[in-house]
Amino acid sequence: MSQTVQTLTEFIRNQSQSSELDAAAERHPNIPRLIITKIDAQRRGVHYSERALGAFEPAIHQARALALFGSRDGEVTGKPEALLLRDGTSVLADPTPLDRSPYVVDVVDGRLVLTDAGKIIEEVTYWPKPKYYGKRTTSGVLMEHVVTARPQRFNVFPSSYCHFWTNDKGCQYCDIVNHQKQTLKELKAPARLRGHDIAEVIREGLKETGRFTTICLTAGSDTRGPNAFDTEVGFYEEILDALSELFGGRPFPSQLISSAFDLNQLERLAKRGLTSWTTDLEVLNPRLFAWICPGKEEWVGYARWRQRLIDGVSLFGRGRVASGIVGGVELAKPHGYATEEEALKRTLAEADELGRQGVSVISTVWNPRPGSKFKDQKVPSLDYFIRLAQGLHEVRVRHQLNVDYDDYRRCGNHPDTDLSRVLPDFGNGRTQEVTHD
Amino acid sequence: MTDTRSIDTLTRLLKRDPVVAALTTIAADGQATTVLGPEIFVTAQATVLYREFLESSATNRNLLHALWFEKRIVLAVSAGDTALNVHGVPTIAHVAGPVFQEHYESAQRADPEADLATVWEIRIDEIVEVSPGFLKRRQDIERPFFRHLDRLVSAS
Repeated sequence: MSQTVQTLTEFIRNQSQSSELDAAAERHPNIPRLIITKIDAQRRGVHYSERALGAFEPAIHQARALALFGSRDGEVTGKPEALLLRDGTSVLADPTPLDRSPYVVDVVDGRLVLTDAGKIIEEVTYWPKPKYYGKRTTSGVLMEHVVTARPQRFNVFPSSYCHFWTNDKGCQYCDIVNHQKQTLKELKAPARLRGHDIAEVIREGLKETGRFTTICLTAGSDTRGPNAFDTEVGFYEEILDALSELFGGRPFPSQLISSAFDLNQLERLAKRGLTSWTTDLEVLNPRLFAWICPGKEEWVGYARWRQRLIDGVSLFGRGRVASGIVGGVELAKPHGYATEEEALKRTLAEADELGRQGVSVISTVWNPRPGSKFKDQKVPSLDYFIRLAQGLHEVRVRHQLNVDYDDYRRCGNHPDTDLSRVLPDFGNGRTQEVTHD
Repeated sequence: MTDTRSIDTLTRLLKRDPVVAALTTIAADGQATTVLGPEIFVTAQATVLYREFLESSATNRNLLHALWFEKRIVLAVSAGDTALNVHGVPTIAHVAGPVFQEHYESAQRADPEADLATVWEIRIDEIVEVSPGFLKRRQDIERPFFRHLDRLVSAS
């Protein structure tokens, strides 16, 4: 990052041409402009100029490779994975074709910058590549095909197939299965990971000190087993056992993003050292849930999925359980909310009720992917996403919920948790364990 | 005002032993927090780097607020008879990449228990000398009405 930020910041401020971003920043003076920039870049996507791609160095910068979901340009790999803004915020923006009006990442005066219609918005850097990328496991698999990285998090995707798609009842915004087919074909990545491979990669990754603070496990839903999702629980038990051995039985910060396990299934994982749990309602309305997530509705249903989140708090504690939502999908046509006002009001009301019971709601910025059923839907306004992020952050303030396991540097994909960086330590009942000097 | 001489003075002051430093930041609600003995470095580009070891600290949150909303912080540095106040604005939070990595490893070499959270880069807007002797001499010349007359009698 350039050290003459003062000059660039002044230059950016003095540019006369106004934009939607400027207007949004003026309407929301209490929301950091950098976060508004991130929201809009994730909403509209980014396009990399030839100069920007020329500045990308595969030896030191992280490229897109294995991921659960696809991107707007339909390509699997080759482009930069993500951008970093100067406050440490990540921008996980989809590479997007120019005809869809994305931001453009370019090089101006030797600096990598985010631009919009020729105007410089912010200086950015590419995510640094972890040192274990490019190495192979003893079983011959490329390590980044076993564990991918966020700025401070290992991402483990044990399996990328979602069984809700078996009878074509996958979530309508999701392209996980189509993307998996493409990934298996183009990257030759393994369809299913083993615990020993995962532990081997993480052991290697930890040689790079200061890089990682947590491990995230997530995959497509697996409905198989004597009870629904028992097979999925089994995957995670195997992985947690392997990781527990790696850390010598010591507890380690971890996040599981999974199907809606019942309390018995969660206890099997909690006793193996899991420290936080996320299961995604995707949309905070039972009618829309049934339409947008028919497989989740068929196997669990909104009310039971919701209750299992609340049950999870009894095991992991307040501030350690969350539901992800696909921010904006509640406005999908034809059955979504008619107006952004109504969508915000209803979504935040339900988020507040979940927050009261110790469950955080975390939002992504929806962008319709070409491999999904919702590929032709339109995204809501920038204002909507700003207000949604602010509202979800305020829920956490009101109900004193930290969200460290899914924050700006553990995940980097949620503008609401970016805002929650400013939350003090709420303790949530754990502080009495701390001794004084 | 900040000039090369001021940066040089700051750099020399930080190298003196003993040196006392304090970093003061302001929260969104106006509450001030001061940390004593911050680990501070002056870069070749005339910015200040501050090593923050606690992600959860009030200072860390306040520095973020200052970066987000272009608010000033103040770094006070004193050694012997010389004291400076450095007024600046945090402009970069290094949480990954070569700057963070270099400082993480360096901090660990000095203290194996160290766990660096962030390296804050602070743009220097102004370095003001606040050495007591200097300020007193200046006040005596520019604001003579503030000096007690008995000081003049004892001096004569």
